[in-house]
Amino acid sequence: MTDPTQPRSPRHTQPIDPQAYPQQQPPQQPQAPVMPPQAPAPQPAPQPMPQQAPQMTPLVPGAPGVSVSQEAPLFGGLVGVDPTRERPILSVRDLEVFYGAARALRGVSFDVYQGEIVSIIGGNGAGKSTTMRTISGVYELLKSVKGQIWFKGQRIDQMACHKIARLGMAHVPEDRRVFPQSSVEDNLLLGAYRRFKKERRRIRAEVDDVYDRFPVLAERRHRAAGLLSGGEQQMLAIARGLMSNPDFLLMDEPSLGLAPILVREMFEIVNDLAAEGKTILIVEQMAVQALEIADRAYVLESGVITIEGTGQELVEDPRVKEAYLGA
Amino acid sequence: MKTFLQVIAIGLSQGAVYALVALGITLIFRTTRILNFAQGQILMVAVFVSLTLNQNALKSIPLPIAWLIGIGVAVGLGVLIELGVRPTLKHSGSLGWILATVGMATIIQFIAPYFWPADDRLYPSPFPNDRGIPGLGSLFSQRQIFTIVAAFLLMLGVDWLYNKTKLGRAMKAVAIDRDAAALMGISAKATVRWAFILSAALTAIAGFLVAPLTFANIAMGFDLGVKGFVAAVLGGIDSARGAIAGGIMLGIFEAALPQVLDLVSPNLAKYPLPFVFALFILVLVFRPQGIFGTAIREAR
Repeated sequence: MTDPTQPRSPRHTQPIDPQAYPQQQPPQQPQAPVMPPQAPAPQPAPQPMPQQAPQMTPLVPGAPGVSVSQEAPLFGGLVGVDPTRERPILSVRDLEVFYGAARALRGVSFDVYQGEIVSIIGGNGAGKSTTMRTISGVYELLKSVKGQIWFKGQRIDQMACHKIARLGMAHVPEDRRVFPQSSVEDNLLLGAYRRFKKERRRIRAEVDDVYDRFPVLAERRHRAAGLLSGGEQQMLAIARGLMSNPDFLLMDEPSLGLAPILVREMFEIVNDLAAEGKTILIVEQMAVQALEIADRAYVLESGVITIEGTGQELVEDPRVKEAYLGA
Repeated sequence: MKTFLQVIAIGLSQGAVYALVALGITLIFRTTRILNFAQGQILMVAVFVSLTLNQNALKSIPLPIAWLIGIGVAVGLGVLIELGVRPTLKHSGSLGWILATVGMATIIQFIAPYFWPADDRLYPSPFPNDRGIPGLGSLFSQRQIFTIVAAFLLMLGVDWLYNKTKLGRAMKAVAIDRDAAALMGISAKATVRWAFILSAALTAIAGFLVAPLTFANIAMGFDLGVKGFVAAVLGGIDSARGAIAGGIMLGIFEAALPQVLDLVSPNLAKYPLPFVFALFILVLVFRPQGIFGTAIREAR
């Protein structure tokens, strides 16, 4: 666990507006256990931990015994953290996901703070995409979810996917899920669906901005999305995600199936988005690139977070080197 | 020449009604990829509810208000059917919707004789003193012109809804990929419900337009439902414009057929329906996506 009292990255320097989410108060009766009344503020371990410690349990103001300041609306905050600066936009706590009897995630906990890029790396079947789909609320047959997910102060683990999207979360799924019969432009406009009525003129300008960022999409704006190449569809999926003007972007294996030159281009785009202030959670099998761009990163193995730290710390971690970097 | 123009007049007015029913079927199909086999029964119930209210011996309700109430009942039935098919929509490949819609059609058809007699009933026209259109002699009646104009205005409205509105975009997205649509912030549940509501309302209006041209009968739902389905398939079931064209084509084909068959054998002219279905089968064989439709490719 990284020390939450330390600055996390040079990129994470913008002070967070304490009034950013004025109406988002967590419930008075938390379902997760909270800290005991006189418990001293626990200090997170400085280095990677094999599994999340109990102190990861989110503190909920108003709950009996919570020993942090109760004036500022906290969610998923950590003890000893200045709530006006250290507010995670996303908190995942003790997340367990089952597909029938099969357990895909086994108590995953992590935070993502505003303006960060957080990477999750891991092998096939580790549970990376399950984590992403569970956060964004994608419906899946036979799936059941335990644990808590908090986004911008609201608990979303039982919320419908479209409601989560309306809160400002955009998910670029692993399989792109562009609308194949619709044109590139229609796909982009669908990305802006939740703002369609109120911001019609602004959306038009944003479509043009997207075309500036992805010129290949401008050339194919009237072509059916299903006729685009894999790389073009990936760009369209990212562009469509951006059209919703999200606060938080989930990117699931964005490099999957792309030519090496496109992979580099795609990671440059991710970096640019973060520089513009977007918060990004990315899962990737291309560990080197994913760790290089990450402020913080987690290693997920068989549904458990086994290692965590800054991107640089994980690049240098011998276990990560051996398992994922080919050292 | 006069016969030809009369055939066109009858075909257009009848075809406009088929087009509306077909449009209702297409609305639901484009959003959910399912067919509502109870469409005709919704039409019949709307017609008979409005007829009962308007011709009530105790207190007659004015026709426009009776229409509104009829539309309300139709929409209620549409929502009921939507609730019935909803569980099957989440799982692609499920055919439970067939059971739900056919079951609802059967139930309505079974219950209807307890409320309304089985014989033909005259439906009130909005033009009680219909003397035709001045200058056109007896070619077009006011009722026919009203039916054609109203149907075309509704068709334009649906076309606008599809292509220009937020709901239309949502309908397209949900039809292609419900999960991807949800990621865009689109509620598939609400979108599908709107499709059923609009479809039921359109079908009810089609009933109000066709009933004064023919008679009201509790069997009319089956007949119009089947013909609406044929019209939708003829034009292309995933295409709103195709459904309109299919309806008009079917109306004119049906109106012209007795004239043509009469030349071959007067007996044949009495049974035009098999020829309508022959046309339907021919289209299915040679152009299964319909004349204006596109072959549907399922996403994932």
